[in-house]
Amino acid sequence: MTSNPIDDKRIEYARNIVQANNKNAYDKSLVINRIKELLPTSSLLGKLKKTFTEGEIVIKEHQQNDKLYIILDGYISQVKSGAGMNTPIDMLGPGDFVGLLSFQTGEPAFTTTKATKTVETLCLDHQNFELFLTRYPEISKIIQGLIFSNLSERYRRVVTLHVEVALLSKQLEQERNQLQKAIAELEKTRNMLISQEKMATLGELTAGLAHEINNPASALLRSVEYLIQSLPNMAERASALPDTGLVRFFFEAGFKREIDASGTIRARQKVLSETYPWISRGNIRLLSEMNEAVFAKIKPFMDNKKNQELMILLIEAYQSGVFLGGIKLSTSRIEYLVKSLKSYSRQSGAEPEVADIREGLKETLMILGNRLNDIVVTEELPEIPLVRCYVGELNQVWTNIIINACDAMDDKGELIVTCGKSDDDYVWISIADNGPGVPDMIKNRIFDPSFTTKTAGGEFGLGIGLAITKGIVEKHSGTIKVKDRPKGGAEFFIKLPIWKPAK
Amino acid sequence: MSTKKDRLPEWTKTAVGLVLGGIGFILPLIVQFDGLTFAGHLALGIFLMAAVFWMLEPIPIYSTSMLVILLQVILLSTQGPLFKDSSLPQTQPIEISEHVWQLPATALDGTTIHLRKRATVSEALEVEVLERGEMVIVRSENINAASSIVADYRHKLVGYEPVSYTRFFGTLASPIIILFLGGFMLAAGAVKYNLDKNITNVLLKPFGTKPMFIVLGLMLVTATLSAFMSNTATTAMMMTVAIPIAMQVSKEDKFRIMLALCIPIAANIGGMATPIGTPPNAIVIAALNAQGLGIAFGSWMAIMVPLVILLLLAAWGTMRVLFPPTVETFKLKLESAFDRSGKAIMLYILFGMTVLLWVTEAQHGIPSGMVAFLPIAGLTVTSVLSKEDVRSLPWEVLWLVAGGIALGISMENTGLAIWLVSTISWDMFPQLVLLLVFGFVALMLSNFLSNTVTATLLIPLAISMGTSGIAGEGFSLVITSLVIGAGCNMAMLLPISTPPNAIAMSTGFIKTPDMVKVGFVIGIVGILSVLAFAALYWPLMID
Amino acid sequence: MSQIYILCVEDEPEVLDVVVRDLSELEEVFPIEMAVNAEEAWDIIKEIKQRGDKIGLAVCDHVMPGQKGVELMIEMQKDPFTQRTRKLLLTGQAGLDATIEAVNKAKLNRYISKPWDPVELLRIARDELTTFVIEQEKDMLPYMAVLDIERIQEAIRTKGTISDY
Repeated sequence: MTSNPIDDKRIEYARNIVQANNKNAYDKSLVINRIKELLPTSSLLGKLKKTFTEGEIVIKEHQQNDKLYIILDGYISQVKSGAGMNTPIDMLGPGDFVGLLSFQTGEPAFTTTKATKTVETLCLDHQNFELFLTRYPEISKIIQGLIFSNLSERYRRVVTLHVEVALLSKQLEQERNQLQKAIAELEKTRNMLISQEKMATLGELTAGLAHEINNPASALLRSVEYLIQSLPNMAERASALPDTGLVRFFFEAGFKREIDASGTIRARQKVLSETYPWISRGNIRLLSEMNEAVFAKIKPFMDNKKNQELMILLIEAYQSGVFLGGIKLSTSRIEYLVKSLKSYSRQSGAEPEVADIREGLKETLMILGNRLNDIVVTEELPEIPLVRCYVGELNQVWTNIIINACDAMDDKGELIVTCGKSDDDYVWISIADNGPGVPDMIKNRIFDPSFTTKTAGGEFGLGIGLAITKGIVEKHSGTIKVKDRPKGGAEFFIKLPIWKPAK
Repeated sequence: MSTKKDRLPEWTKTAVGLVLGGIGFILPLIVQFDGLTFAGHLALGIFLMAAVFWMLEPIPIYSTSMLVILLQVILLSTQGPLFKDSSLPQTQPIEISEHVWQLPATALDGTTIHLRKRATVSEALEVEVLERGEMVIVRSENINAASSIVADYRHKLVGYEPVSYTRFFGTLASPIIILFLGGFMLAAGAVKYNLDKNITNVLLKPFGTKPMFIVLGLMLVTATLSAFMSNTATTAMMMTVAIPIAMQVSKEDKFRIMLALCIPIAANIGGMATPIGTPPNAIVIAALNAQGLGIAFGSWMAIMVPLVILLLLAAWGTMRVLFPPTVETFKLKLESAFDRSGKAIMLYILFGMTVLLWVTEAQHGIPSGMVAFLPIAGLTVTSVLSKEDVRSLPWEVLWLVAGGIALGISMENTGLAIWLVSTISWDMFPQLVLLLVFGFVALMLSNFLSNTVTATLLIPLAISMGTSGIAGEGFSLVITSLVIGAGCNMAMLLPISTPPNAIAMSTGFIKTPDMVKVGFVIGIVGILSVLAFAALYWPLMID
Repeated sequence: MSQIYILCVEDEPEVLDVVVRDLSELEEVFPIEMAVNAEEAWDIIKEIKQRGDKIGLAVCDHVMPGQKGVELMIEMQKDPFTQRTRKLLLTGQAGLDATIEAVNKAKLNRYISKPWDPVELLRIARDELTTFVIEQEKDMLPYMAVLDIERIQEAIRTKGTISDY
């Protein structure tokens, strides 16, 4: 059934016609029986009898035919060749004529007729046919009728066949539509899986990024709070200083703060706390950070046991500078992270772009920086030709492979990223690690969907990652393979076609 | 607290303390003091060493107490090496004439000879000295030719009858120690089953929401509890009530200071109200008992409670003036949930019974020490207190007191105490002045020393004045001892004066000047009140 | 009387500054030592141990170069010197697994995620140090003023470590 009720009605109508026309007007068996009765007695008929064995060709298509056969027993198949196939047309049985049209019109045979089993026929040439018709008038009448019924049967059959063809065409169209829909669904699902995988990867990335952003964000907030508290009345208090430029000096010292080795600072702290027991611990800690030059300027105020206000003012100025420096650091860190994230997760447009894929590689490495903390990363990315690609999707590929490498190495080890141009108009990218490598028996399965060696708990081991990765690479008409490294570890080797500008 | 400040290594203090104490001990062994018996010298050595050790604390104060007993047992006991198997050398007087005798010069100490009553017992006898020389001629009607005279007045047994070592050890279980032990166990039970907290929450309710009355309530409740429990535990517990209040008040409001300060003050003062309130009381009672003078539990309360109330009010008024609160009203969160388990009920019963029997001691005559064994046995028999609870009792305080009592014994029976006070002719002074001096000295010393130690050092002196009669007529042993006891308890000047003061100081709500101001006023008012009581009220209470 | 320290371990200096500043109220009584990685932290721990002092509280980030915060705390738990130290994990990123390990193997006491509320951090630090002092110190008085006074008073009351004299 199609989805269209009008089409259904048409089909039903056509079927009815076909069935109706399958009834014969003439009863062919009557004629055959009569001929069979006559056969033994008539020597002429006896001479006309021809038997075909199984598979024997009666008339070959395209050939001239001057014989007319009437089938007495058995069946003959009628086949038409063309369009590279042999299409069965009809099965002719007792009472049917074979070669009628070519016999009458003299045109080459339209079809090939072959005996399916042993067939007995009456074979008439033109002379005999005339004779037949003149000698046996009663039979000739019947034969004429038979001829006409044969022909009209064939005509009807043609019409029916047309109708059947129309029916079939309609059905074919319906199926074609359904198939198209199914393909569209599959395409949708595939895209969904890709973006899920992207989400999963992004999820992993976001966790790391959230931490990256959290740190500077909170430092930023608190530094601002501190400055809001301390700055307002600093100006007033500064008026008590002999040299008002001191506030600015200490502020800048804090801003530019270069920290000595912590051992040095602690030693200094110890000395200071012994020499100046009246100064509070917190202040001692900050004083011990200051280098010689800065310290020299605050020392006179430290000695004044009775009035520590000015010393405290200068220390606060220093700390304000430190916090402002912290703000600067934090904001640039945040800016950097946001920029990276933006460029990394750049949505693929409908159109691919022509790009230098090294950019994407480098961005990916940067984004994953947190994860790669303890990993020694070697980049050797010489210039390579441009590739026409969906940059976002390729970034997903790099991310997936690199994260897998990290997991395999337990976040400690080496990662080597290289690229180059291969001879056959492809660029290659290699991402290698020195982890445990991929065992041989798994090598060809790792790109299968739902294959994963990650456990269910807490890891994004959807197992689709590499399958999608492969899908993306193949979508770009590229290839992806995994190899063993001679020194141990796995190497993922991706080839992508070079972009050739259309002429 | 801050290591920058105490850069002196710990061992220096210890070393200095030990050395000075050692010197104190050896001094009387080298130097001869006139008028002091041999045993008295030994006792002096122990006394000086103990005083130094208690003051400088190179070793914990209760260790000093144990050291005191050890030295007494070795040096001054009948079974100790010095006095074991010793006996007084004897000589017979040679009759020169009627009532005139000749004796070796060594038998004569100034104008005193000693009769040899027994091997270890001598009795002093004044004689008229007619002639001195290698042999002396004396005149006395109290001796005859058969009299046994101690041949050498410097003999160690002269003027001292050694006591059995069991007497020194026995201080560890003297009735007053048992009384205190009973009190400690009741207090431990109260803490364990939160009886103290619940009573506090109940008793504080009626005091309303005005800050001054809340403070008054806190002080009264603190004083009541510390009369039966240790001042320190009471302070810590009341702090948990006061601190939340203080936290809600702004940092500038003086109410904070008052809240934090009123509690240690009330705890210290409240400790005077009953015999078991604080260890110095034990020293007083033990010393009086040794002289055959007893004060019933209830009588002590009748004597002291009015003073306690007066001082609490004085303190309250002082703080009101010094630290006026700015906050207007205050809501206290007082929820009490009395433990209803079987053991808690048992505790309540035992607590109630014991206190009842104690307070009515004068009526029924059962000594409070005896009553104290009721909770001691009762609380452990009923498992109200477990073995761990018993282990956690402040045994070292009992040892501290025991050592103090023991030292007192030797100070008395070696004549050391009398010798110490006899340099001044006390009978010249009116009684009130005497009391003032004792009270003042007790107050001053215990501001810097442990209260119990101060009592330990001063009470024997008062006792000896009483027994020797050198303070003249009108000297009341009991009243003087009470004055000393009160003085020891009223010392609240500094954080180091008493543990409750230290606890309050550590909260950071109070500055030392605040404490000094109040402590000073209380000290003055205290002394004056005590003198007033001593003059007007106490003589009526004492037979 | 030994000094009790607070140890702060955080690899990003701006964040470390802020943490220290948030805890500065406690500094006079509990001096603060700072480390930018686990290695430095161990140096400091060794120094403090040699001086005969103690570490009351360790505030650690997790993600650091070298030994991670959770691993550091697990080792601290194994070392008898730092076993009793109260441990606070202050981090923006420690996966669930790492946190579970910290709780079980390092006996983590508190977890605060970044960004944190300064009032909350101080309160928690104070609470943890109070627990440390009550458990470890016979003489609690010198530390009382900056800690949870109520809890310490209650501990004095129930433990009975201070008696009248």
